Amino acid sequence: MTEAKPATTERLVDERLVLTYFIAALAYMTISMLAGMLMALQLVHWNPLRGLELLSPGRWRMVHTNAIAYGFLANAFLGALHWAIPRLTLRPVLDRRLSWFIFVAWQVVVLSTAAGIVLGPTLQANSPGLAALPFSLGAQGVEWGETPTWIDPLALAGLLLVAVNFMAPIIKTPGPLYVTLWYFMAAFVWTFLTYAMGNFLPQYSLAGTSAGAVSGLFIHDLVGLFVTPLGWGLMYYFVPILLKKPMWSHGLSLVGFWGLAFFYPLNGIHHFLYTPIPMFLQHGAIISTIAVEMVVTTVIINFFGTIWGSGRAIVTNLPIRWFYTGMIFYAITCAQCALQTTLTFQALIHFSDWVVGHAHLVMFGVFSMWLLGIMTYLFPRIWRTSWYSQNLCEWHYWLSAVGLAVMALDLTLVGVFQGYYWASLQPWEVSVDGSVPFWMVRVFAGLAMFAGQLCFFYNLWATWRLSRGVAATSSPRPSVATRAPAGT
Amino acid sequence: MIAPGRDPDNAGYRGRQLRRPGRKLMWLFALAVLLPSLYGFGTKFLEFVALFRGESDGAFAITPILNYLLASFGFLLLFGWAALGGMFKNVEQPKYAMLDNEAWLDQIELSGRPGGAALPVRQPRFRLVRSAEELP
Repeated sequence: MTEAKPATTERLVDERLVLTYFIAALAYMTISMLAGMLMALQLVHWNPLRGLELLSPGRWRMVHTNAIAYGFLANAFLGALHWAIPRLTLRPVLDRRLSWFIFVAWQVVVLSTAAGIVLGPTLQANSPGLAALPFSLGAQGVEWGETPTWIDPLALAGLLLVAVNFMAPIIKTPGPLYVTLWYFMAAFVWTFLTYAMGNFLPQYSLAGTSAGAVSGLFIHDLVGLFVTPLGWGLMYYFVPILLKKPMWSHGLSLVGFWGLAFFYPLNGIHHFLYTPIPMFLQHGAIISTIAVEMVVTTVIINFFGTIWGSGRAIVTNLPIRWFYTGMIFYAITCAQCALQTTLTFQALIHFSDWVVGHAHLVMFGVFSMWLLGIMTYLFPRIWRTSWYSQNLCEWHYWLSAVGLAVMALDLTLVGVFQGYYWASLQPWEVSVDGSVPFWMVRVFAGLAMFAGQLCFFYNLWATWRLSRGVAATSSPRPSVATRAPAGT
Repeated sequence: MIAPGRDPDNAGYRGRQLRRPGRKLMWLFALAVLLPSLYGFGTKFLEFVALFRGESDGAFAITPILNYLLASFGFLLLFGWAALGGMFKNVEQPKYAMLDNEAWLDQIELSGRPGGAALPVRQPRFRLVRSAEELP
């Protein structure tokens, strides 16, 4: 795979667009991780930006979450979809120009969101012209939906265009459909509806507890109905082609898909246990969460059944290692979920750092790991070269995986401690003092994860130079564990 | 090897139908699961309607429930359409077809077709791949 090959399937896959999406995603990941680091430093009283209103932790925290969800995950998913869907359907997307338009429009949405969160309230307060506007330029008061209200219609239109662009090749594909396409189709519909529900209903139609219930649905549906179907859909595509063997059971994968479709939508209310939301709704959310855990079990069994007999690939094939590490974290996070939704356990960990650890386990440990694995596979493949340094690839993986594992364990532990501090009615300061050592560990775990990404970025830059023949002839070109296209 | 313990080259595998006793067992099992579930869901739904009617501010519960019912109903229709359209016949076939297509694309890429040339028109052939060695 070291020789440059002529472009061949250009009419099917727009490889330049795939790369552009990935680069944009990594840029947002850097911003998000820097913002996360600032928050971590703030908690141990080392905030280097203290006193700067525009860079205050409250604003940076929202940048941290929005940049990872809508900047990194959305862009990386869109890039991977531009690779996977044409190859699965043997048809290009509806219109390449539309694809590029969506790319630009989505960056406008994400950057406007960041600008709105950081600058919006200050600008509006200090400018008489802007103060007269009938809407806020700043963040919307919905968790994970802080996108300013004036951007919401644009974002929704963008999601509609995404659905149209990708559904065109899928609906032309004769059945029976591969499970990945089921997941993708559902994700396009679910994401559009979830975004509309979470951003418009609490803002314009509902108030109080009702708005709270819908916000709960939105938060969780964003994970379960936007990120999860795209993530699993991509895994059902990339794992078999990298292992060169089909899924253990396609039938079982369909059970997983339809189970997600029917059990997931009511889950979100489990974020608001012990609230004035009627208990039968809370109980319904608990039961459907446990039902989803059974669905998750079928998916995990299927993937481990698939790798059965090829286990060495976890050692030799780096993308597969990223994927299966993500799956192990997924199993852990879902086990946590089943615990968290029981009323007894929820009473202990509610509002504690357990939840923060859980969120990092899901967003980084699972979905970011899968996407980084996909990038590890696709960057050299598209550039038609090998990775500049296999060692840097290994450092990227190990720093990310170990850093995340330490952070998740650390936050889970401190969450339990915080829960017991509060349950024993000790003063708030006592729980803060008890948490500081754990928060210190979190800083260093975050630094390790960030260092891993820096290894990746340098490797990426060097590999790109290698692909253009710019690198010095003496540059090392070690063999890669990442797989060449099948057949090489 | 592909799926453990299965020989996809065996025609009996691809077109395998459940035998009558097996089908009866499947329906019995389905009913044993579905009937109590429907009863439980119906009871809860009636509770919800009673709440909605009985209290002036009970309407706050309606939004999440309606969201769920609408989404689930849509997927129930989709499920029915898929089942009636034969999407679940030969349920294991798509996993072989997917790998087959991918290998075909890789083959084209490696054969060095000129950049930008249109791909030849191809419908999925559903050729079963027996082992990794068969992939080009």
